[in-house]
Amino acid sequence: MLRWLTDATLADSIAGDLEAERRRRAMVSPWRATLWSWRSTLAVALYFAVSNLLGRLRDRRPAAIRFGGWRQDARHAMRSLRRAPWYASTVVAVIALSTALAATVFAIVDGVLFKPLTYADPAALYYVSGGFSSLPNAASVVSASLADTRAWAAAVPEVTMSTASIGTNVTISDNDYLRAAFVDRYFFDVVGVHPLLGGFSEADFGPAAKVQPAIVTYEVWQSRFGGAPDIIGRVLIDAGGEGARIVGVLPRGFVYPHPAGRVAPEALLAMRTPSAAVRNDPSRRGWQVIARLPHASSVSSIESRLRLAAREVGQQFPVTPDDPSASATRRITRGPFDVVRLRPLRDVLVAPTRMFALASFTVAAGLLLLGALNLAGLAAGRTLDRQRELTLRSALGGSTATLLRLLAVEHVIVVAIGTLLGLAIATLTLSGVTALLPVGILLLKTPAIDLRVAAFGLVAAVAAVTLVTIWSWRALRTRHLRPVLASSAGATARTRSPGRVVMMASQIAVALAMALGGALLSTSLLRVWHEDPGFAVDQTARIRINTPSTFPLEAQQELLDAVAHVPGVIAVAGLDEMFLERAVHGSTFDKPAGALETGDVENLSVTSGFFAAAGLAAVEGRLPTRDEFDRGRRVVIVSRQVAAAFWPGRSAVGNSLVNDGETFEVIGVVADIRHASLDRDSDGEIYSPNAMQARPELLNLLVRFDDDAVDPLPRVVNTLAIRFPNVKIVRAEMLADALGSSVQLRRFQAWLFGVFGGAALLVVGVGMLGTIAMSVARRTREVGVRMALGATSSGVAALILREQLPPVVSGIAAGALLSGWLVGFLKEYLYKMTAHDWMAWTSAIAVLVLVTMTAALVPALRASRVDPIKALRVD
Amino acid sequence: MPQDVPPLGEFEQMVLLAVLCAEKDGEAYGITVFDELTARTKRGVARGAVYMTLDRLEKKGLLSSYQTEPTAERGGRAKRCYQVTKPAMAALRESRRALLNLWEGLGAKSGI
Repeated sequence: MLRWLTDATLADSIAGDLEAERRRRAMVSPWRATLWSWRSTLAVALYFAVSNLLGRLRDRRPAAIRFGGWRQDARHAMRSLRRAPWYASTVVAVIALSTALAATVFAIVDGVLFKPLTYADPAALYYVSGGFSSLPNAASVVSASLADTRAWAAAVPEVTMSTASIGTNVTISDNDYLRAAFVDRYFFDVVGVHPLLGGFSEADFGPAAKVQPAIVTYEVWQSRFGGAPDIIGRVLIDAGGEGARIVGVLPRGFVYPHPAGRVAPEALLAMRTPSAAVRNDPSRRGWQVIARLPHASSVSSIESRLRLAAREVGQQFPVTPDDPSASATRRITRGPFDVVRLRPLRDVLVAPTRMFALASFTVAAGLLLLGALNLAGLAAGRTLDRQRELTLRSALGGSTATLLRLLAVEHVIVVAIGTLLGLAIATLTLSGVTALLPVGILLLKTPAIDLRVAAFGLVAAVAAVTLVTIWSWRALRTRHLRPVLASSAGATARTRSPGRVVMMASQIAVALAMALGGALLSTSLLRVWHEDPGFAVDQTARIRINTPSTFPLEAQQELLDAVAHVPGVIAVAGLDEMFLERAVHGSTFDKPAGALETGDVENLSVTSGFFAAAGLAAVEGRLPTRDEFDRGRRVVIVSRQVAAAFWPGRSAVGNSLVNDGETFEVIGVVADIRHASLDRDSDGEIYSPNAMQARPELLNLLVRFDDDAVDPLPRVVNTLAIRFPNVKIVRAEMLADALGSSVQLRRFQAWLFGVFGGAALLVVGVGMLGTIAMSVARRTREVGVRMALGATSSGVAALILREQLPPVVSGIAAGALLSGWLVGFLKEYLYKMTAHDWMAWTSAIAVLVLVTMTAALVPALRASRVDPIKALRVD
Repeated sequence: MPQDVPPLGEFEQMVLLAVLCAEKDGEAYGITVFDELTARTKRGVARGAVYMTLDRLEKKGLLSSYQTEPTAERGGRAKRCYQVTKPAMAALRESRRALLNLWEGLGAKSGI
């Protein structure tokens, strides 16, 4: 920052001085030292900025407006603001709060909404996907087969295409891996971005090998390998000799350009030539295609040529036997594509996040608007206070431009201080807010308070100053000397002007819309929290682990026994499944004849302790014995919904289910559970023995503790770490926290909109308080006269309160109309409720009325305590 | 006052004297000059004002500066140390002489 304000060597020496001083202070208190450093840097920068500005204005001062001059105006404005500390601090606080929140949100959503993609000529990049004309909107699917990609590339030779596939892992040690994606040899040419270090060679795309060449992201290079300069060539393998050879590092902030890869890969692997069976089977869809179109090529003409190619692939499609259990949609999507679509890459990448980003940005902009309206109202009131002084200046020869400049300088000072303070606060809060962001949100940019955010702050500040100056000028449009000098402080008529009503009503309308957004999303989150997950939450923990590639059943049992012997543990289970991680894999069990239509029934492979750990009791039949589930007998437990749908009107116990040709007996029925997330209704579960899987593994442990156990989870984690050093503990948390994480997006939305709604109420409350207090102060004499003529204190207070009714009522009416339209955009984020939920609407309106009436009541009570004798002596 | 000695403002005089004090104890740079000023004058001084004045005095030729080697405790940045130039010494002497003459003119019974 200092480099912008002075020469580089001086800026560096100042920064060095401040850093040395900070380190000295940090020995006493690190956080106080950081605070001191921020404050001092800001103070020095502000001093330089103001001095430079004043110096430049003095040098360029045109002869025509010498009245006072910029420098004198600035001094005058500073003196004048010092005399009105409440006004200055209120305005600075409102601008700082609005800017801090808005800049934080802008820093997060900038990549999705405004920033161009970081690929070369990104407008020429398209995402190629197949679809089915018989489905609504020709529903496009993300992935294509290699037969499709080959045919597409041959049909449009002038278009460069790259094929990739996401969702794999590459091992880097016995119990650690990196999320990875396979890319073909054209990938870097198509996106037009090349690795920062190294890269793939032609040989890397050869036959498959145990050690795979990998290009890691810059962030992985820094965080996992400490930015080691000798990273290229490092070989990272597990005990079985499988792993990765690092051949390159991606540039900083590189965004993987496939929508399927929203949980971004940490490494790119060279896509090896697959077997002929995979290459030639048009029904195996697992690859994503991006294309770089030549300039001036027609998208529709390329699409139609690709459609012809897709039809040729369709003719090679194997005839699959009609599966009566598959839905009509599924039968179509198992068939060949008859539509091919080209969609701009940017649209595809931002589509899942766009609505969320747009909604967040809209509330941020709303808060900025509210801040500006608020400032305009306060500044207009202040201009009225200064009417006498400004009219005198006018009478002494001050031109319109001179007076306007005088007002603008004061506004520039408060807005600049507020904006700088807001940006500084945003720098501190951004990392906290980013940590709350749900996993899997593709932002296309690492959130940071950078030059783009500073520019956003500047634009907002300039807009606020312009609006405020114009508005306060409106309040000053009559400048006849005699009436102003003749009157004392009486500006009663003007305080009730329609302009003031409009200004206050607009603030209330915007605040209502924002408060309502917060109320709706918070109510929605509360509804989710009130859902019963179906399993025991208290005193139960989930531990996500990575086991070595070879970890046989005996070792798994040994691990479960070790956990079971930790003091305080009353049950432990192993799952080869995601649990509360928003994952739904479905079931491979065949539906019995006569089964009713069901949703996505989930098959969970678990150990025998699962039912005790989850607190599930048999509602029919019995639970499995240890021998049945841990040694592998062909028995299953089903949940209520499965029992009711598969064997309608009769008992499920004693019936059998077939999976991959093997028959399993149903021995018991348990309650349905929300295994994917708290906000996803169960469609029914089938629990099968983990030991019966072809390759049983442990992905999660479910551990239930004694009710009296105090903070028992660390003991389990320590036991695992000491006794099983080759098992990596990825995450250990109590189920209450895991349930919270499972609705992370809802939690973030409710938090974001709740904070903005609260900030809007605070801003509107402070603004109204300031505006009414200033208006009441101007009317001291009038109040004195009224009281001298017999008005009571309560009568005066009631008068002031009554005067606030028109803006409050019209503001709430306008806000309700505005909100009625805006809440429509929130409906897809609401859980089992409508956007017109009366509870949320009533509470938002009630809180707003309470805030506005409190803001009006404080100055009203103050006015009612005016001593008429003193009041009549004013002026 | 000689023609080639520029007139000094009150704060400029204080900064020049603080540089001399700091030089006496070691190196005169931003932090030490600021510390000397605040400790000896018992006044609240804006850090930015000290840096700005040091820079202005250097441009006026009343201070000269040199840079030290960058160090780790300064975040890899160099230190800018200042020295008072001959014209500045002359200006300070002139200012002191003028002030002493004025005080002497008041005599012992001034009551101040």
